[in-house]
Amino acid sequence: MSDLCPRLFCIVALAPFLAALVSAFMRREQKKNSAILAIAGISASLVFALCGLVYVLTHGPITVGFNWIVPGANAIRLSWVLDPLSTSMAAMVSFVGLLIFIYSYAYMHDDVNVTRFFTFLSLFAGGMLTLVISNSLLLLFMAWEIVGLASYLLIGFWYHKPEAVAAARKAFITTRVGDIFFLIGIVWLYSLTGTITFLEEGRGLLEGNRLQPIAAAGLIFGLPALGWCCLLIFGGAAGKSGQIPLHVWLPDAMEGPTPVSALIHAATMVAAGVFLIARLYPVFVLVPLVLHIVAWIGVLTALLGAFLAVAQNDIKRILAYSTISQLGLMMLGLATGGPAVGMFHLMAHAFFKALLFLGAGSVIHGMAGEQNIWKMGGLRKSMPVTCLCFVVGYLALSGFPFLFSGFWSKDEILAATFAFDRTLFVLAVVVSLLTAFYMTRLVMLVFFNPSRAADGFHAHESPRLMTMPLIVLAIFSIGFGFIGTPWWNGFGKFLAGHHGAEAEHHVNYFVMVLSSLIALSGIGAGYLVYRGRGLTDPLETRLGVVYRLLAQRLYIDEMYDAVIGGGLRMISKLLNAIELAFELVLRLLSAVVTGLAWILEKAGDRYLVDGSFDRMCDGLRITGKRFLSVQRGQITETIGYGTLGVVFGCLIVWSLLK
Amino acid sequence: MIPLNFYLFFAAALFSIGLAGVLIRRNTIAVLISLELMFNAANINFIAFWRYGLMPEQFGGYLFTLFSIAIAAAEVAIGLALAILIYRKFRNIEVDRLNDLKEDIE
Amino acid sequence: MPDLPTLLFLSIFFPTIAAAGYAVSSRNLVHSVLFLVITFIGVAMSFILLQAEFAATVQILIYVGAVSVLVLFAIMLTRHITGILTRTFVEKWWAGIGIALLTFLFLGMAVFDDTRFSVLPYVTDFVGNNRKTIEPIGIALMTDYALPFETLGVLLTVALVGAIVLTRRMDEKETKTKGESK
Repeated sequence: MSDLCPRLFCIVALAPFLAALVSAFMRREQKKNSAILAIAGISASLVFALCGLVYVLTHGPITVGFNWIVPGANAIRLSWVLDPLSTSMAAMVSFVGLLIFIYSYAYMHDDVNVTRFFTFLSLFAGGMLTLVISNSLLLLFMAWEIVGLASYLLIGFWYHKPEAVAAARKAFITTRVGDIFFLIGIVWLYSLTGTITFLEEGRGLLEGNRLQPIAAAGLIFGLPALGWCCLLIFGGAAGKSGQIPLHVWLPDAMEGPTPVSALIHAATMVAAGVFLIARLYPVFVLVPLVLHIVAWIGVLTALLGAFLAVAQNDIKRILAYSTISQLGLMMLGLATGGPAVGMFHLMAHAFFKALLFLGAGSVIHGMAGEQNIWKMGGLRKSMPVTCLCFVVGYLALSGFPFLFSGFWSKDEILAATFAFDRTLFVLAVVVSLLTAFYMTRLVMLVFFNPSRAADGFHAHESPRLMTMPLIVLAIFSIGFGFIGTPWWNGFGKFLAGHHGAEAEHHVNYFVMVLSSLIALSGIGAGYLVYRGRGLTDPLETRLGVVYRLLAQRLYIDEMYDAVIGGGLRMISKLLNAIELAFELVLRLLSAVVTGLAWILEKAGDRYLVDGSFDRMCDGLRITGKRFLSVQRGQITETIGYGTLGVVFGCLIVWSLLK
Repeated sequence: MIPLNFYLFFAAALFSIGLAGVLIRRNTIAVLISLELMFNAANINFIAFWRYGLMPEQFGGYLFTLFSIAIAAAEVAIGLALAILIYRKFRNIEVDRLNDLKEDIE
Repeated sequence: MPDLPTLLFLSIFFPTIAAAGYAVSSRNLVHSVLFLVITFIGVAMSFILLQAEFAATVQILIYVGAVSVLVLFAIMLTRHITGILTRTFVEKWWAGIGIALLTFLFLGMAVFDDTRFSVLPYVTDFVGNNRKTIEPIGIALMTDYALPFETLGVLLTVALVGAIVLTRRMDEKETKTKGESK
């Protein structure tokens, strides 16, 4: 048993791929079968992930692998690793995935293409799980690409909507930019260290002090070569996890179906970047400057996301910007406090963000497709279960003290940041405040304020298959937090066993009290501003220009368009100018030559040339004609002559050699 | 024990027959068929030299033949595609009528 | 009475050469292809005689199985329907025969030049005692020859796509396909 479990752990990733393969051949009418297949696949993943988790808890980390391509002396191995990071992540991904798959069947019930949907979902699940269990950067990168592809396919699922198609393209291209940096980073890292495997009996990237000797070598602009590799890899993570400036694709990705937004763009795929940095943390930690950069980018992303979320009116967009903001916080936590802090928030966020998105989906479903929060209201009475679960998620995200997981995870981040850098801490506090504020705005307008829907429209509660996952996720949003409290940090200790000794944790009561106060005041402010509001946003009138800037997302997309489009236009104009210059020179030359020729013709041609030269040319032409008749364009003749030539040549060579 | 020469002779005969076919036939596809004969002759040569060679444990000749078969298949596919295209355009695939490469004298 | 190996060789040699001769000279193109198939099988037999069984299998699979069928299809697609009797051979066919004869003479002379070819040793036991060839070949393809192998894959893909692209009819209206999201 104990030997079998690690080997079978790869089923975690293979089961969904198998499900995807089979359901790819199903016909469109077999909706229920494809759903059952997908759910079966991911349930298998969950089972084996839990086995892996138990195994790591009892036995400690282990890797399993086999040689894949052996080009000469070194082999390229495919291996997967069971350690606290990979097993916990795999368990989370498959668990949340399972809940979302069940939800999707009810949500997408009326769509014609449900079979295709579940195929893509399974493909995504397989890719994501491969990503988390892989033991080498190569396998991780391949899975990274599969996940990107699945994201593209799912965002553009309703391909007859041009906005969806454009959003899918944007997502793919933006993450591609990040992926290029990632790939360069991987290749450079390989050339520096000679390995891309994480754990490999002492030789891997993350093991011992393998990279310590080269940590400060090869300074380029003040940063060691290893640091540049880390930055490049972070570039890839930034693309996938929506850090500035590659965040622009996430809000547009909301064009996809809501379960997709929940699974991919809240809980799992966007967390892949954070996971990557957590995985490579032992490498990053060797170049402290890189961690500073990551922290700053994280906090700036968090701020941008939070500010923009305040001014959005589409329920999914608000959640999208919130996700960007929380991802920034995760990066911040990762950089300041290590994987334990960052991953804790990642997992807690996965639960309550998925909950919020699924809840939003439930709301949209109940409101028959309406997504503008200003047209909703009073859903507390008509959709009680959804409302209750959504409120649980909301309180978790806002960091309501003690009861909800979001509080504990955010508290860890704030405590770590407090010890790291005071300025970052202040900014992080501002983010928390804004988070509580805009979420309260959302919840008030959607659930508590009087209804602004059309007269006679009654929203109804969603079916059981949709509300059950909500309830489960709500339970986890509350319960998960308790394994990471400062007094008993079970989660942190679990992950720490993976990296060796971790610094002793002093419980920072000041930060805890402060974060509680911030959360409560954010909620309170939101309540006061939006109590009873129905038709207009008071912020719009009070803040005017600022509000409009935020609502237009700081015009970042338009700037990208102008810069890149303008840049291309400039280059083409430049090339055009160069071509014109060439043409001018050529014309000049030909004019000169024509002039000379005219002179020569007038003077020389008549006397010197016509007499003797032309007659010689006539002679040449006639002879040429005779020779030309040989080449009649017959391919066969050509081959024949060629062969003759070869044979004679070989004969000569052979006789010489004898 | 069959001497090596016998196989080489076999290959030489096959090659020459194929060559004759290439130079004689009018139909393009017949030319391609003869070309395949030449390929096969070369393959026999390779396998024969592999077997009678100094080190059969290194499968150089053998692998070359496998690759050669695969590449010949690809080449035949493209060649036939071209033949079909030519047929569509000129309604005719006889090599002595397809002389567009002819140098025209005024 | 020659010994068994030579007998086997001769029983492969004569039919194959004869079939090749007919393939090259037959008036009917389909007959040509069928004789070609016999030639392929003959070549495969000679591979087996040379203890290269895998090559023989590949030869049959690909040449007889795929290439011949492909040629038949091409013949079908390029049939003259008018029924005009065309000559099988080129005008100056004697030139072609002459060149081929010359080549054959040269090759024959080179082949029976004893000093070079009969000094090569004939290794009776290679690859250990079993003389298995498939396993080392498979391993070689995946390790030492991994790069040519992958390149071959790319080449075949290119040939496949190229053949399709070349023979597409451009005047057909594009039918709407599912999943196109342009």
